[in-house]
Amino acid sequence: MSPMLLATLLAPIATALFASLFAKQRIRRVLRVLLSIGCVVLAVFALPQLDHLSAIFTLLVSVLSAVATIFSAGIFPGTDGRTYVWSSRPTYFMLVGMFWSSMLLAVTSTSFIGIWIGISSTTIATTFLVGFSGAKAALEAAWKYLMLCSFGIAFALLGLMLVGRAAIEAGILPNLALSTSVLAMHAAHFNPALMRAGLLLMLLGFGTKAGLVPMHAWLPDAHSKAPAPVSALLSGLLVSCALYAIFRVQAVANISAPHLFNTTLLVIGGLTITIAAFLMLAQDDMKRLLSYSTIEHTGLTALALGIGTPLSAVAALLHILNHAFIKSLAFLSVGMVQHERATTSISHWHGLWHARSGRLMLLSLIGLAGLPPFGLFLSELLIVFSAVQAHAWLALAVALCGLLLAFAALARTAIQAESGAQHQAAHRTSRLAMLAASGAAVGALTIAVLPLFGVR
Amino acid sequence: MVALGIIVACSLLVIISDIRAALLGYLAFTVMVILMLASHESGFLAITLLALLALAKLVLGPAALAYVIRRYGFALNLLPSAHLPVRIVAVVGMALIAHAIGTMSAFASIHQASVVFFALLASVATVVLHRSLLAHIVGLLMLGGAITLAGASFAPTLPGAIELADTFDIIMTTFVALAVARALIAHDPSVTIVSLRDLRG
Repeated sequence: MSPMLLATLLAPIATALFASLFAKQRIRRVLRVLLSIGCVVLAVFALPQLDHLSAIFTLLVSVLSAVATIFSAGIFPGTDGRTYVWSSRPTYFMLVGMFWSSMLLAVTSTSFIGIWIGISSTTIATTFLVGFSGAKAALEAAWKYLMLCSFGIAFALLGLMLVGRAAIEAGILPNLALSTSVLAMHAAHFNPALMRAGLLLMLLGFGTKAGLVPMHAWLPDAHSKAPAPVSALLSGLLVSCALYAIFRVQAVANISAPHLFNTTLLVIGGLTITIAAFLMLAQDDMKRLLSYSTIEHTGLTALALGIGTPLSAVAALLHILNHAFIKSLAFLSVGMVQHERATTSISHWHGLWHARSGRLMLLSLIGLAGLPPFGLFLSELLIVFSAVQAHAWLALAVALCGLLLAFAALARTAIQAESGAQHQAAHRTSRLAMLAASGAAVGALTIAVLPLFGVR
Repeated sequence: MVALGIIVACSLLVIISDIRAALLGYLAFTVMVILMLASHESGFLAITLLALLALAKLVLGPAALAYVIRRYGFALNLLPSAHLPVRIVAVVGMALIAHAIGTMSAFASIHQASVVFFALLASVATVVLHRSLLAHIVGLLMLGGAITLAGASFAPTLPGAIELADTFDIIMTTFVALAVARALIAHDPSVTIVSLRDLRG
C-alpha cells in the first residue's frame, strides 16, 4: 500500500483525534469542518492509484462522510442523560472517523480479505454510534445490529476461506489467493463446487450488511434509532460498501458460477423489494420509513446485478451512487426536522413546506420516489430497460410493483408532512447543519446530471 | 480424539444453562481448537500468531466476560428458551445436518469439514436456544473459535493473518457487546432477549 493511500485511510480517525485535543468547543468545531474537507482532498489525490470502481466508491465515501461529520458539528446528537463510555462528543467524532476509515479500507483494498476486514470493522464503531443516545430502544437496535452482522460477516469469511482453498488447489500462490483481480481472471479453472459454496456464503455475509432479505431484520431498527447523521452514513454508505463487496464477488462469480449466483441475487432482490415496499406503507416513523426505503433500494440493486447484463451492472452502479446521496440528504433533512419539531412521527408533522429543512426533505422524497431531476429516475429506468432486454419479465414485474408501492408510501408521507399550516419550531437548525444537508442535495443533483455529459 | 472433544464441548455449550459451566465449556472448546491448529503450524511466525490467538481467545475474551459478570451482577442463568430434551434433540439434529453438509461434494475433500460445521451450527444454536444476553456473547466467542477451526481445516495454507484478523474482530466485538449489555442492564436489571422487543414492524 502506497504512503498516499495509507494517509488517506488513516486521515479520518487521525483528524478526529487531533481535533479532540483542543479544549475550546468553537475551535474543535472549526477544525472538524476544515479537516473533514482536508480528508476529501487527500482522497482525491489518492484516486489515480485505484481502479475505476474503487475510485468512485472512495470519492463517495469521502464526500458523504465529510458531509455527515460537518452536519454533526452543526447539530450534535442528543443523549438520554446517562453517561456511557461512548457518549462524549470527542468519542462520537472518533467513532465516526473510525467508521469512515473502515469504509475506505473496504473500498480501496485489492484483496477480498481487505474488503472483509474493512466491512467487518465498521461494526465495532457503528454499534456504539447506533446506541449513542443511550435510550433503551437505541441500545436494543445496537444489540440486534451487533449480533446479526457479526454472525453474517463471519459467514462471509467462511466463504472467503473456501474460495481461497479453491484458488490454492488450482495453483494460485497463497498470498494472491484472495486478490480480487487474480480471482476475477482465473476463477473459471477452480473447483466449481467449492466456488459455488464460497460465493454463496460471501453473498450471505455481505448481503447481511447490505440489508438483503432474509438477513435484513437489524437494518430498520439500527438505521431508525441511530442519530440522523449516523443513519445517513449507515443508509448512504455502509449499505453501498456492502453492495460494492457484492459487485466484486459477482466479478468472480461471472466466470465461475454465473447462473447460480445471478439467480440467487434475483430471488433475494425480488423478495427484498417486495417485503420492504409493503412495510413502507405501514410506517408512521419517518426514519423507519426511510430505513425500509433503503432495504427496497438495496433489493433493486441486487435485482439489477442479478439480471447480469452490462447495462444492468451500469444501472446498479448508478443506482448505488444516486441512492447514497439522496438517502443521506433524506436522513440529514429529517434530522433537522426532528431537531426543530422534537419528533419523527409523520402523523405529527404538518406544514413542513414553510421551513427550509422541510423543503429539503421534500426534495429528498422526490428523489427517493424516482422522479426527475434526481438520478434514481435514470437508474431505475435503466434497470427496467435491462430487465426488458434480458427478458427477465418476473424481475421486471416485481421491480415495477415495488417501485409503485414505494412511490405511494413516499407520496402519502410528503403530502401529510408538507401540507398544512406552519407550526412553531421547538429549536432552530444550525446554519452549519443546513449547509451540510444542502451539500448532499447539490451532490445528488450533480450525480444525476453527470451521465448526461457522458462522464464515464 | 480432539475432534470428538470439540463436538462434546460444543454440545455441552448448547445444552447447559449456567454461565460458569458455559465459560468452562468454552475454554475446553478453545483449547482443543488451538491444539488442532498447533498440529498444523511450524515456524516462528506461525507459532507467534498461534500464541496471539491463544492469548485473545483463552485469556482476553473469557476474562472480560468474567469481570463484567462479577462487576455488574449479571444473572448466572443463561435462561434456555427450550426444555432440556428439546436442546438435546437440537444437538442431535445439528450433528446430522453437519454430517450431511460435510459429506457434500463441495466439502468431501476437506479434512473434518463436518466438525467445523457442527461448531458453527452450535454457536448459532447457543444464541437461538438461550434468552440471556450473556449466552449471545458466549455464542459470539464460540463463533470465533469455529472460524479459527474452519481456517485450519478449509484453508491451512492461506496466510494466518486472516485468522488473527477474525480473532481480533471477535474479541473487539465481544468487548462492544459487553459494553452494550452493561448499558442495557442499567435500564433494566432483568433484561433478556425476550424483553428486547420494543422495535417491531
